Amino acid sequence: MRSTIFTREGKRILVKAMKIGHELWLHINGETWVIDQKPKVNKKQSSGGVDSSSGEVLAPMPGKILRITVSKDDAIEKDQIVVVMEAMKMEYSLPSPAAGTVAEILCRVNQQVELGSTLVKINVKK
Amino acid sequence: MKIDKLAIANRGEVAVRIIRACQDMGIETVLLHSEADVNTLAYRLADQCMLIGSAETAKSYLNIESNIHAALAAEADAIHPGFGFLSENADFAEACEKNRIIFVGPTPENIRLFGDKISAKNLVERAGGPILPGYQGDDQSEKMLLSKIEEIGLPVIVKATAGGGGRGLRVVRTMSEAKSAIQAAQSESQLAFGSDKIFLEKYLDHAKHIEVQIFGDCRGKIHHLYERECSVQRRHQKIIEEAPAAQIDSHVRNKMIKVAIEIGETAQYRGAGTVEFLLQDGEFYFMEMNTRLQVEHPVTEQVLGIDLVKAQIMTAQNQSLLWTQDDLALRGHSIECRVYAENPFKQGMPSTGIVKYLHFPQGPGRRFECGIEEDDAVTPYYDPMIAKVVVWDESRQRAIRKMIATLEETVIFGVRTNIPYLIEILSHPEFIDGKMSTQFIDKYFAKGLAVREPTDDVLSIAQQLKDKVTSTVNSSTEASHLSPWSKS
Repeated sequence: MRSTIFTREGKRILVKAMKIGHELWLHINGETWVIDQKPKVNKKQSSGGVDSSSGEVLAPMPGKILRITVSKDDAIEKDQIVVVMEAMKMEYSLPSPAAGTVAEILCRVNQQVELGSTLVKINVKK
Repeated sequence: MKIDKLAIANRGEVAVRIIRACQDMGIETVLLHSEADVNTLAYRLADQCMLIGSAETAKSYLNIESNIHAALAAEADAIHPGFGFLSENADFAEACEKNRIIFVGPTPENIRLFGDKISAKNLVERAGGPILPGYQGDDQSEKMLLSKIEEIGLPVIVKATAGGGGRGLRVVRTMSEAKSAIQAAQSESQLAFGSDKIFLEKYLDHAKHIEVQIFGDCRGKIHHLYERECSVQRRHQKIIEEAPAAQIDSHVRNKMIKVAIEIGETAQYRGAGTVEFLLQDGEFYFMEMNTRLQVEHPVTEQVLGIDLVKAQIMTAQNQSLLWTQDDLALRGHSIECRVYAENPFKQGMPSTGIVKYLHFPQGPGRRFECGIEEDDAVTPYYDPMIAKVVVWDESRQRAIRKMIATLEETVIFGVRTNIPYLIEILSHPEFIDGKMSTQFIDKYFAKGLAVREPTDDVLSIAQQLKDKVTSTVNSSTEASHLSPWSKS
């Protein structure tokens, strides 16, 4: 971790910075920023780990599916909530990583799912 | 009944907290931990470690047999269950007793009594405490139900079950809605439970969550340690707590304390317990009693200058406490913020990964409870709370200011945290006024925070630094196997 002092309009600004993988983590004026510094070779590939033909909504932790808010073939927007699950007594609304249509729903309400399991497959709009 | 060795049946920051009390008391510690918790501060600090199971809580922290066997193998005299997990499991408390291990907490009877909502309410009524007005009688005629709704006073919740839970809850705000709400709840009840019996309960739509800390010492005397306010909660998950309450009439506080003590005395309660109330328009109602040490105990410790975990262990040893009721006088104000590993700009999505840099700004009236250090992982198996930031100052306004400054200077690299969310809450006029109710988060912060794009200044600083900052060992591959969300 590297500390640097910048000056802005006569005020001293302490900046803490650290590279983690391809991300530059910065703490400036009480806020933390994460700047992705991976070279964007293929624009589609760098959009949230989704490959060019299908996106997936994965379970971020082990838990239970509470609601599935979309149906097969629905048109959906990026960040639209597709599944609501419960883990550790908290509810989590899982968004779609991309715009497109719902290709397949691979989970059921009340199902216990494992970390990383695929819940919904999406045909990403190119 | 001196405890020479104490086993900790918990993890994270509370495991460290218990180790600290044991260090203060010259008690050896043994940590009962899962496979996922070998790279944690508690694991490194404990005098001995016993593996009790794999990462899944059911196989480890919730497994009574594993915990008991490990404690026996380590020849521990006592077990401290922390909070959550088995801390309010009467079977576990009993299993400890059967195996001649001291359970640091209340008696199994205390736990059973308050673990059952109905027996708890009955006891509170016997103790003369106020219960939320409701109706669960057998006369389910429309005439009776409507008259009960009027008697309770609008607004009223109409529901299909006696207990909590969100299913089939309907809020009736005007008498004209009452009939259809009753009918709808009845048919839902019929569908779900095969009986159309419905329950009525007064709906408090702008109540404060106020809880009173009580403590039953080894002689059976019930002390009170004043109150805490925990109104800032998201779907019943507390985020910010404080002691004393942000805003409370002193005579209402005195009444609540009196009721809490009466409940403790009636139940012959032993150890630390918290009586939770909802307070609205000067009226308060018993909600439940928590028979364990609570996450937010530090704010009480800060305003009274005492150590609750030590008090628990001393009581377990049948030792008198180091303070009396008369010694306890509130001084100043303390606030605690729970730091969660989550992304507040993505509706609180959990964030996992390796913490590569961690900095807590030490100073007067600043206290940090954290279970991990740099290069430890935040895994998806457990509660995402990774730290508690606690401040104390002479007044509530000063404490708020200190908390904001402290959170702004706290740096955590490697996982996202809710710190920006906490700062927004602390800066909100309704929080600053102290008028917030349990509806506060829903009213103003239901969707978390709007995405913030880095300013030109931030980008220019990033540009200037990017070649000067060397890369750490690539940890994103480790993080990604733990969380598919680390890519986003």
